[in-house]
Amino acid sequence: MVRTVLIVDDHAGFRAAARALLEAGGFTVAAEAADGRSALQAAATFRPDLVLLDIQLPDVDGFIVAELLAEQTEIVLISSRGASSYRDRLAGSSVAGFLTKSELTLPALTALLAPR
Amino acid sequence: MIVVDAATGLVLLALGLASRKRPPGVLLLAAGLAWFLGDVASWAVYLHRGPLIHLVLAYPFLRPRTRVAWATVAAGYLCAALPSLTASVPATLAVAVALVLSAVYGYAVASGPERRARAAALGAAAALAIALSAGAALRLAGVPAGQAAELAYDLLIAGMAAGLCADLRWGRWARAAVTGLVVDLGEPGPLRTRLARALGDSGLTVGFWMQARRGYVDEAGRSVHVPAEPAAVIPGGRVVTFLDVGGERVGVLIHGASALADRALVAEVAGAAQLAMANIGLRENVRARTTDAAASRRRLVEAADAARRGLAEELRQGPGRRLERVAGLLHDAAAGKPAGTHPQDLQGEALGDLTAGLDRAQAVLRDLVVGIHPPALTADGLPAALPALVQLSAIPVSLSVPPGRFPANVETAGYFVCSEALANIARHAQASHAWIRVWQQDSCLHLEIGDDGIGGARVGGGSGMRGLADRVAALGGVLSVDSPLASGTRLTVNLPLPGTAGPGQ
Repeated sequence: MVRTVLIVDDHAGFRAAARALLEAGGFTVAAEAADGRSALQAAATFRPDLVLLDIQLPDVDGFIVAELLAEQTEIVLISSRGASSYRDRLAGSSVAGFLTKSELTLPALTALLAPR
Repeated sequence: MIVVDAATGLVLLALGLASRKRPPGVLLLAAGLAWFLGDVASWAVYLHRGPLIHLVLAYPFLRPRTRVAWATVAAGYLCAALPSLTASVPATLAVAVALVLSAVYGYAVASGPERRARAAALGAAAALAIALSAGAALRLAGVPAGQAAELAYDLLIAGMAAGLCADLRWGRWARAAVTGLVVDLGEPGPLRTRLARALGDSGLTVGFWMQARRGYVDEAGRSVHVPAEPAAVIPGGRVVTFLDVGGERVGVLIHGASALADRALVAEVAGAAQLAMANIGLRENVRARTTDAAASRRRLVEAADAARRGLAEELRQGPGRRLERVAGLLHDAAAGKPAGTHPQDLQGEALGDLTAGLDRAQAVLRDLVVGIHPPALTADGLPAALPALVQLSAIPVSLSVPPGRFPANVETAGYFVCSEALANIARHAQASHAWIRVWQQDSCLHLEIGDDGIGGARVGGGSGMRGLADRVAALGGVLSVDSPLASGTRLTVNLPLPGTAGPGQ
């Protein structure tokens, strides 16, 4: 059962919105990170059950971060661009799913996590 | 009458000879000689009283045990030797009273086996006081001292001396005192204090021979300096007596010249010291082992930390850097930017190589990401690493951390305590606010991590606290958790800072 979440996005406004949404859905937001490097550190520190991970980070590509974290936690990639931009890379990645930022709702998120 | 008088003198000499190896024997011999001196020199007629009073109050040693006894012994010698005082009835009565009071006081303040010896001395003191005061009382009453009175005096003196010698011979108080010490060894409290009391020497130094150190140590394991000369007299009139059992050196006593005049007692003390040494040797060994264990635990933690730091550094220099560049290239490629805009052109073949390299780098990184040593900690210590850590926390964390660096193992432990505590708060505490306070005090680094959550946390509750407590303990520190239900959690840790000054510095 997913409980704690790490939100990785370089926009503080989006992080706050995502956090409000997740907490409303019963998740516990343990940590927030603004770039790939601190995402790795936050994941190591807080060991979240789920990482909500923006693909376009200021320092490292989100897919790289996802690969690094894939074995220890579930990952949902997010982006302001549509899935088509990343189709090939998403196909080869081991993340739980992908959502555009505008699609990020509790039911959509839960649907991605449910099959696992 | 002369027969009885001579017989009394002879009894004193005989008893003195019989126990000449022990302090009371020496005093009895002195009293016997003084007795016969009194027969030939009228000024010395009461001279024997000096050694007798000394004998009673110091029994079974040479040195009186209390200041009161010292004063009485001195007064006794004065009264016995100075003709003007010898004839004085008030002076004699005063000495008799002081003798009884001193003996009673000596009995009252004595403890343990020594009290039994003091009881015998108390009886002797009463007999001697009666002998002294009876004659004086008769003189005070104007009654001439008759033969009966003299006979009674002689019998009291001889009886008193015989009684003390019997106690010395059969009372076995000395053995009892030392045996008492041995039995006491299992009890806490310094052996030195008990030996000092038994030997009547408050300045006694006890050293136990430690083969491993090739030297003497006291009960606390501190080195004891011992002059090399056997039976040497060192400044301050102190004497060194080596304690040997079965030809083996077991310890050393540095004591006042008279405290161990009794050779029989030395043998007893040597036996006791051997047992004490075995006991202390065991404790010393245990202490050494636990110190070793703590040191080896510390070394393990330090080695793990060093390895982690080394790997983190290697990672940053090698795969990490390459990975970032590769990621950038791939990202740009995915974004459709022309690869040629980069300094190094991305050829098709090179892309394959890069992908392979990326896979390898990722494999390494994946294993190392968990628990990786934060670069900020290595580079700039807690003042840099903790703000970065706190920034990641979803709930607001107030942070107070002093500037400056601490030993690497202390910084690492401190960092991981904070990071684990924050993780626990995030997972379990349902807190709206947390704080981290770090400060240095009394040669320790103190950390306090608290929150306003639901409480109920404990070490060993499956929260990773157990590992932290071990890590803190390995550095000689203490971790404690105060977490009453519904009242938040407060985790406190102190980590000793090696090589810093003591409290208040």
